[in-house]
Formats: sequence, structure tokens, C-alpha cells
Amino acid sequence: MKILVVCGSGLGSSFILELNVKKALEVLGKEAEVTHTDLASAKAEKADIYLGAADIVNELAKDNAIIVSIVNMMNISEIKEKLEPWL
Amino acid sequence: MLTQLLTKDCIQLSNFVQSWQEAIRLAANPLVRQNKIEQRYIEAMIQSIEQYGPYVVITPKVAIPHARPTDGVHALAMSLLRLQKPVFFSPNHPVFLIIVLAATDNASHLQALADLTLVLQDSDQIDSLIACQHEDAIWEKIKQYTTKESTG
Repeated sequence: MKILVVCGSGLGSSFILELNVKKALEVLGKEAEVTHTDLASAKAEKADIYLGAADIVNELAKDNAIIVSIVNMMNISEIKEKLEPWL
Repeated sequence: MLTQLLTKDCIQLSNFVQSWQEAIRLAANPLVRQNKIEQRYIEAMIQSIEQYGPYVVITPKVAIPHARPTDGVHALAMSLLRLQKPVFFSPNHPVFLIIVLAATDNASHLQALADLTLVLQDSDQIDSLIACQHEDAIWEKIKQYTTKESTG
């Protein structure tokens, strides 16, 4: 299972979100590979789940990929609830 | 780490700004003055939000505008602007804290961002920063929030 966290530049928000995705996975007791990148690179990179702010991930029209959009990137509960059905 | 980067001279307080663009310009001002970023970095941050939307509002009340190292960054840097009245990045995104991030590469700023998550993970801590009436108080609180975990 690979989770790719995406933001516009791949520098700030996506890293913060990556840390919180890892915390959420820990709470769920699940394991997955989590990395972060920018939107342009994400379009060319394969992952099972693409996760980011709605503004960003909605630009990723991926076939057969799961897209998860997060409103509050600091809210572990939100991340947990939105990821759990896909793990 | 975060308080070494986000020094007191990079923290500002303001009552009110007209627009989110003005908020970003004002917040980034100390970094331009210190020659850590070029003016064009500010425009790049604004363009990024115009292009991708207000996703830099990573949690209610807080925005972390940033652009790429190639957009005119001379040194790893951060600055913070605290507003008394919120500025709206969108009708649903009122923001009181604007934290500008300027990175020189993909890695050197990550520890500071990890520290920042210790500050922003608790909405009470965010409200407490917003309530500060002095730059020193903001710096002290950030120091407190980022060191308490390692000291237990």
C-alpha cells in the first residue's frame, strides 16, 4: 500500500500532512508507505491512494486510484476517518 | 530548531489587512529586508494560491504560504504575522496567523515544519498565539510548545 501526499509545491503542506498521515496510521495500527510530492510529479507517480487538500487532489484525475481530500490537515481524526475505509 | 529559524525579528503583529495578498506581502517583509528572499518570491507565493486555491490554510485560522526554492530564496527562513482581525483566503477560510516558509531545498526545512506541527496540532495553542499582544510572547509560546515534548 502506497500513499502519496500531494501539495502544490511538494515542500510545505504535503510534508506536514505526511507526518499527520503517519500518526493516523499509527493510531489505526496500519502500515503503509507514505511519501510527499508536488502536484506535477504526482500526476506521473503511481500510488494506491492520493491524499491532499481538495483544491489539489481534485486536479488528479487518476484511473483506478483512490483520491482522499482533507480539509483540516492538522486533524488526525479527520485523516483517520477518511483513510480507514481504504486500508 | 523552529525558534532558531523563526526569530523575534521575523514575528509581526498587525490589527487588520485589506486582503490575503497584502497579508502575505506584510508577513514576508522581514525576509525581504534581511535579503533571505527576493521580492519575486512573494509574488510566486501569491500566484501559487491563485492557481491552486487556499490549501495553504492547513488548519482553521492558520496559513503557511510558500513557493519553490527556485522562486528567489537565498536562505532557509520563516516569518510570522499575527492579525487581530482575520483576513479571508476564501469565504470559508478566515486566517489570523500567516507563517511564510522559504526553503532552499527539499529537506533542510523539514525539522522546522515538524516542530511547527507541534504548535498547530492543538487549536487551543493556536488561539493562545492569536491572543498574544507582543512579538516576544509569541516567540516564547512557540518555544514552549516545541520543547515540551522532548522534555516530557
